[in-house]
Amino acid sequence: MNILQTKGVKKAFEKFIALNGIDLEVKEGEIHSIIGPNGAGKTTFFNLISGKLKATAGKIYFNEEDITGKPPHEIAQKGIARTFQIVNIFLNLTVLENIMISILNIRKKTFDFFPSPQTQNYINEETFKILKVIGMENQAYTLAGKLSHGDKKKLDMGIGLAQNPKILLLDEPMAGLNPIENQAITHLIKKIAGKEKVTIILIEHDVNAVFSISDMVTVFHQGRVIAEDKPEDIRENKLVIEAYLGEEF
Amino acid sequence: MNHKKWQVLAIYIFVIILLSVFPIILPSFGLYLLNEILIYAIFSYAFYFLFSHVGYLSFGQAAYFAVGAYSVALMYKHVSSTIWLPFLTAITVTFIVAFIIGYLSVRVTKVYFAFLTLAFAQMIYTILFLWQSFTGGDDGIPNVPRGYLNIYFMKINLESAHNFYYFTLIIFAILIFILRKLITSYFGLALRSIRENIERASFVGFNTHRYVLIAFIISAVYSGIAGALQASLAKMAYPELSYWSTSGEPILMTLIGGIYSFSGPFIGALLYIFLKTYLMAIIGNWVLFLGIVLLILLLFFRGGVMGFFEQKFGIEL
Repeated sequence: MNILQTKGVKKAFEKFIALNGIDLEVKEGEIHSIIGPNGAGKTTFFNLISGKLKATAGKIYFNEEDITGKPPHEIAQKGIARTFQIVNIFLNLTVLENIMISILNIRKKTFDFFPSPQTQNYINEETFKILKVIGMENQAYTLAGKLSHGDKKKLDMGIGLAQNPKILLLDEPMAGLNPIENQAITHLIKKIAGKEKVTIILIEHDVNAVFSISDMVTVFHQGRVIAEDKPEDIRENKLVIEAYLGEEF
Repeated sequence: MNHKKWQVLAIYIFVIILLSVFPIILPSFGLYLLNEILIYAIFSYAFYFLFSHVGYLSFGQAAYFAVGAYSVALMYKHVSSTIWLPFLTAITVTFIVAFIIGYLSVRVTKVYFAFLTLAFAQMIYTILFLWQSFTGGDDGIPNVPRGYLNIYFMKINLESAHNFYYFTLIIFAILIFILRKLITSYFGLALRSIRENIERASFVGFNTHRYVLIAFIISAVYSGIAGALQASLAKMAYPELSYWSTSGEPILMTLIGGIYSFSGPFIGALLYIFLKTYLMAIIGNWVLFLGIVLLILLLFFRGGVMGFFEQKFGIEL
């Protein structure tokens, strides 16, 4: 079943056409990667799905429901979470608070001014459960701004994961990481998809990582889809090699 | 509770006892000043809540201060001599005005928000100034009574300076307690997430406009209550209560006391009113002195007076 489907999605910034008719189908439970050169429209595509930008034309369906043009908080509440290319977290809050915010929202507890001990307990438990998944339970009381770049990226993903999403959109989670951090994130993505059963759409330039974890790869080039296939077939695709991967690959 | 928390609690209790007992020995002018300090502290807490915990700098809090003041003044003059109806009216009217202005203002942030709230406050000022038949125009509403506080068979006359002071103190204590509760609640955390990163907060699933609007209204109602008390204390309401310089006062007080400290607005109001009163008597040009104080604070003590003490003694007050 398609958990996400786009039909003829187009986005124009005045005269510049960033996306020119994207048809994409994402199946439930898969890791679906989007690759392509800079300026291909990948992040713009995420911005349309998550409601940051409004599509010029076309439709976006989530579980067969039309979500085109809905505001970010509504899309988030429906179950689509995202992370950002540039770390986007709550810097002056603790790691714990960063995660707890998402939990409070999905549990609808932000207006509970006199939470019972049970409520406080399960909010804390769920928060620590997420901290454990991202491996940051020992840094719970550290200010997010004081974390290393790699940990910030992990936390960014944790905030998204804590929303208990059906789909998690990851925008370049490996950008700027050292090889060890890179491996940790790759491992984490696999864990989220496998154990937590979250569908993942991944934008990433690290093609080795992409090919190793993806079930399906879509290649964007100049606002269009030029190929979509299993990783091993994308590797061999002439068009993709020409436009993006290069000869040595 | 750990050692530090007990210390903080002890200090708070000490301050409350001080505020309760001190007035017995104060001369009437000192009592008036202390009363005004409590009122302006409430006003500053209104600003502090919206600025320090939601990240929105309102330059138009005077609008609600004045709306509260005029509501109470008009109700006392024409309708009721007990406090309930006038104060309920003040709260209701500030709520409605804040809802309308807030609904339009929370769509923008930062300096745009500051200017929009300022523009709306100046509109309120113009209305108060020009609507002669209703607001008394330039003269405002003089000779406002302080009314009676009647609970069951008790009828306390608030014209007495002491009675009115304790009335203010009780309201102050209740409002500060509620604010503390708000800030430390889950709701407070949600607001701080908006302060930190409004974009991410909306992607987490918060309808951020709604949260900011609620905080805006709370802040406005606090300002309105402060205004209502001020009109009773000074026994008059006048257009300058809504002027932009009045909006500036809670900002300055909070800056002096410390924008990151819960006790900041109170200490700020205390220092500001104390210095203003006595320096004006001694050197006359108090504004020049205020400028120098602000310069020193902004250059060397960003956290204000309380921020400095908190750092020095390692406790959060």
